[in-house]
Amino acid sequence: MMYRAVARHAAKLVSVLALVSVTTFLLLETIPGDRLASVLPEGATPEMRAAAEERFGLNGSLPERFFSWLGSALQGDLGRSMQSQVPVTDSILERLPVTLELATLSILLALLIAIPVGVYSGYRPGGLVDRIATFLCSITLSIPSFLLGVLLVFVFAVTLSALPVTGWTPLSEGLVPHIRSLVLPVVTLAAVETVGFIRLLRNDMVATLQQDFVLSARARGLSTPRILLVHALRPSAFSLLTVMGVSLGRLIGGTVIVETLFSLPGLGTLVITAITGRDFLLVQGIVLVVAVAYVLLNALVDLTYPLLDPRVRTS
Amino acid sequence: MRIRPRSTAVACIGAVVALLGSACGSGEASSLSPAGDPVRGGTLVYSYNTEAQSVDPATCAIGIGVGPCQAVYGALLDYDLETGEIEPGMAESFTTEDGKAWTLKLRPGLTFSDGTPFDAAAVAFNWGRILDPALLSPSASVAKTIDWEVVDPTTLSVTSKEVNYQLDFGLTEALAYIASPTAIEALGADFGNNPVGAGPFTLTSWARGTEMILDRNPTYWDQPRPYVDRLVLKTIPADDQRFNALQAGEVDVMAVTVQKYAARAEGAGMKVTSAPLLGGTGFRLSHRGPLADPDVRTAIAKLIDNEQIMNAVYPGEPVASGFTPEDSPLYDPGSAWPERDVQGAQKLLDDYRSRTGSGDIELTYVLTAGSPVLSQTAELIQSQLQQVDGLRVRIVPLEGAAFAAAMTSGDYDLIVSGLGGTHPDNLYKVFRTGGSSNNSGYSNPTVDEALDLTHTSNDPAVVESAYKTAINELVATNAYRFWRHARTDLISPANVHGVEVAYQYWFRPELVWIQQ
Amino acid sequence: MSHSLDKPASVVSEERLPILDPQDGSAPVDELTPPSAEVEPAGRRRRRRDVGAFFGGCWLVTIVLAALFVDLLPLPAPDVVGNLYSLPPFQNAEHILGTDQLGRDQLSRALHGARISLAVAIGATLVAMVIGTAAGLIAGYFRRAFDVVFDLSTNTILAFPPLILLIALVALREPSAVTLAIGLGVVGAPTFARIARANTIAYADREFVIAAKSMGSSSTRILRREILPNVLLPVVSFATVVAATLVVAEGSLSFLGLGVPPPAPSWGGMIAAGRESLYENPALVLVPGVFFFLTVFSLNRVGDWARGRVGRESSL
Repeated sequence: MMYRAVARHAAKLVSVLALVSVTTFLLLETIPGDRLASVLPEGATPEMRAAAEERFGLNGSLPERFFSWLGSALQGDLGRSMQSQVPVTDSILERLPVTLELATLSILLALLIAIPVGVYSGYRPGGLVDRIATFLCSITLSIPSFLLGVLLVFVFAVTLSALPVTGWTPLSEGLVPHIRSLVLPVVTLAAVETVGFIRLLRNDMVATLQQDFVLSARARGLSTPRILLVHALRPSAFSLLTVMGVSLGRLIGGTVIVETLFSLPGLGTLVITAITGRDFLLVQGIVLVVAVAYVLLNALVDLTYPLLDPRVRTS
Repeated sequence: MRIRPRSTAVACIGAVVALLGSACGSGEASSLSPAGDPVRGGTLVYSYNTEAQSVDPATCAIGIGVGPCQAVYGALLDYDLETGEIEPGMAESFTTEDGKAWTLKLRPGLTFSDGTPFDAAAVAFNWGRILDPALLSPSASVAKTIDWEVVDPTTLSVTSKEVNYQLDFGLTEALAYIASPTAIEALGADFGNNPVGAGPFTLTSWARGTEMILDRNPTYWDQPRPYVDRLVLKTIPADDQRFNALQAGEVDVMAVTVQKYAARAEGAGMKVTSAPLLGGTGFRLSHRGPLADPDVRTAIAKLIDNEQIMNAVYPGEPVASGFTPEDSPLYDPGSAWPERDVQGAQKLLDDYRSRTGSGDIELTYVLTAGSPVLSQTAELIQSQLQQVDGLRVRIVPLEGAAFAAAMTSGDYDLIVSGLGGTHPDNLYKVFRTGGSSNNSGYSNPTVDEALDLTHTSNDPAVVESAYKTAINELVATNAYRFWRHARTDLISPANVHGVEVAYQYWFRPELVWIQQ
Repeated sequence: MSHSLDKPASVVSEERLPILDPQDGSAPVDELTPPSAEVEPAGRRRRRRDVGAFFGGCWLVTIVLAALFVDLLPLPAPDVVGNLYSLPPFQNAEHILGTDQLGRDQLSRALHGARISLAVAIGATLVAMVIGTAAGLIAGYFRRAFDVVFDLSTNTILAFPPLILLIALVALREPSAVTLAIGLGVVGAPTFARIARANTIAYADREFVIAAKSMGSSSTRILRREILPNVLLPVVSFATVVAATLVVAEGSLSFLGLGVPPPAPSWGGMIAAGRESLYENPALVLVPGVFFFLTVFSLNRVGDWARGRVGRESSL
């Protein structure tokens, strides 16, 4: 049974990735205008253009070019960036850690806030904390990330001068400057994740706390914090883990706005440069990597979830 | 002014210290002893808002790419912006009698950092490589105008196909950078990221989008230069951020094109060097369609209000009243922009329309997308041009590659364009009929004649006068219009010496030393 | 019955509103569990939610009317350049909300910006609804092969980094309001599609549908007359929430400089431009920001209320 599920998911995964690649390819193909615009110098001769088309693999029919790309991609060769000549895999690997760090820290921060708030709200639904939290969640969801980022910059960087306005300080230059350059971007990203986690936890807690084993734990005289954090939280931990996985997958492709706003050298800013520079191999490669991350994490969630959540198993 | 409680306290203390200091006779906030002789050592950090794509000598000759290339390869010849003279660099001399036959003499015994000899054959190899169409080298248009031959290891004989006394300028930028042929052949496409040259520095590491680290080349010919041990190129996109880094001591040389930092820096005891560059922030006019008619172009020139643009978008900066700034050797009163004259413009347009029977003229104004400053300027210009009857302007913001495509194919009526560069020879390729950067379709016999004269004449006075003639004609025929002179400021703290603007955004790091 | 997809009702949120990343402001909506599953301890809470929805509704009506009839209002035109640059709000009777860096009236620009943002968002929502509902109906009713295609297409759209897809769509063509609306509509379609499909499956084996089938009605007829009206209600109840997300998406694109080109003002573009002068005059960001926030907030609140009403009324 398990193998059937895995095989099914694998097939789905592969087809989705294939479709994503084909769609990107077609999208990039239908660009109006000159595909070589960003690399041809002024005064380019027809020989240059012909040589460039040869060099960047622009000759040949659509299917030919796609399968040639696909063949190389399956062997790990995603080609070279048209603008910088750096192999696409190298470019991606260089930028990926920044995006990953951003995404991971955002999720961790979201958890840090969401667990206490969500658990307590679920414990006392309709109470003061719950009402305030719900209200703040509503507000947060209505402020888009770029606006939130700009406002945070205004308060903390411009007015209070406590944090840098933009820019990335690598870890090699010191832990504190590195963390300082990350605070505002992480908070901006974490805001919406926090809302999702709070809602999930709250609803889960409400449902869980009505279950028999909680009543029996209470009857056995266990203290409230123990019940809340140890017993009631456990079933939710699984769903929380799955949501984290999905969030991570989504964030890897979704940090574009924050990275642009704060000038962080991650995948988001790379993909914008690639798209505007018509660096199609780079775009193709990034989209593929991000899609793989998203799909894999989702598949992982789908597969392991029934293993972990006892409620599903028994149903 | 910013209200910063912490800094107010610091400022108070600082004021007291300064008072005490001045009471002791020295009025400077930074108590530096006089410069003295250059000393070895230290790390020099340069910062601008973008970075190069690759350090391949064939592709780096323009714009921001020049920096790392000049550091790693050194230039064959150097152009001194102050004096306007071209001086020996990696090469010993480049001379001619008749403007056609030139001789390049190299320094004996030079080697690249991998041991390969830097000889005439290496130069020939690099120049030949530039001609390879697959490399898409912007220097190819210059390389095509010459032939060369290796005479002996330190001599290259160069023949210009046309008489061109300005050819030596080509060896300061387009053909200046010579890399090790052995390394090029060994690394192929990876060479751009692992360059090997004979210049003052070698590339140690490159974290794209963040910083590039270069270390002193111990085999550089001009010992004891470079004085600093390490050169770091940092990319900091926001001007304010860059300036903060400069003030915090994280950056030693800040390059910026906006002038508001110069005043702040000087107030803080820093040094600012700047050099006037060619052209400025403005737009090129096409010479096709309705813009082929000189009256239409004149009408546009009469409608643009430089002062309004500068007041709104660049408050506090000086307005460009003509093509050349007054402190430029090429300044001429004849290069002043036409006076603003709305009624005159209306009349010209009405005449045009009744002459040709056409209706409203619609013009496209092409700019690079994503820059609020450029967008604001575009919207201002649109409102200025649309205050008369019969003119409509459509703003077309385009992404990087789409913009480049529109530019090179001439698919625009008005396009945002800086002229770029330091040397007036850049006018040749943009405005001469058939010039390699002439995408507006501009063709003017007076300008052609004047620009040709700059190539064929050996007499500096004649050349200068020819440039002035060309420029005045360009202004009279409204080929180009800008409101702000191009200028790059290099700002550095008082203890950094030797920083001078040498290229559009770059200096000569081998001349810089840091006083401890 | 409606939980024909795998997950139990209580563990909800990972099937989020998949259009665009939540950092673009989407409400994590679960189409599997009607909102009534959330605990409502007292009628007091229901009333409070109504208050929010009521004010939200008022704002929406106001902004839509203002956007439609802005030309009739005694305001300067949005592209008139003045010489009072960066005027703060509430200082000049002629410019109630101040001016921007080129001396243009902020209130006028905000209202004209509303036109673009709302038009694109509403257009995109309609496109998404039409495509999504059609796809969901077909997949949910006919199942088998259609379901497979449905699953693959929705997953492909979802797996595409959404903002990247939009940037690509927009950057590759000169953006116009129509292009944007279609692009956003495609990205938003999977949400409606899934809701439509889930509800179609639920309704497909109800008594009246079986009766119609046994009477020999064609599939098209059944879909159109029996199922569609019932599916439409839950679909439409999501419309405002989706519209909220799309307003944010359009704002994000304008912020990146990829929205409708100037001189058409847009909220995102105004925020991007105001960012440059954040220190000197934060009102340049706050004025469009407040409009933006109020609109998205109202759409979300009204949406929540609508879903709540539908959840209670339709018993699945």
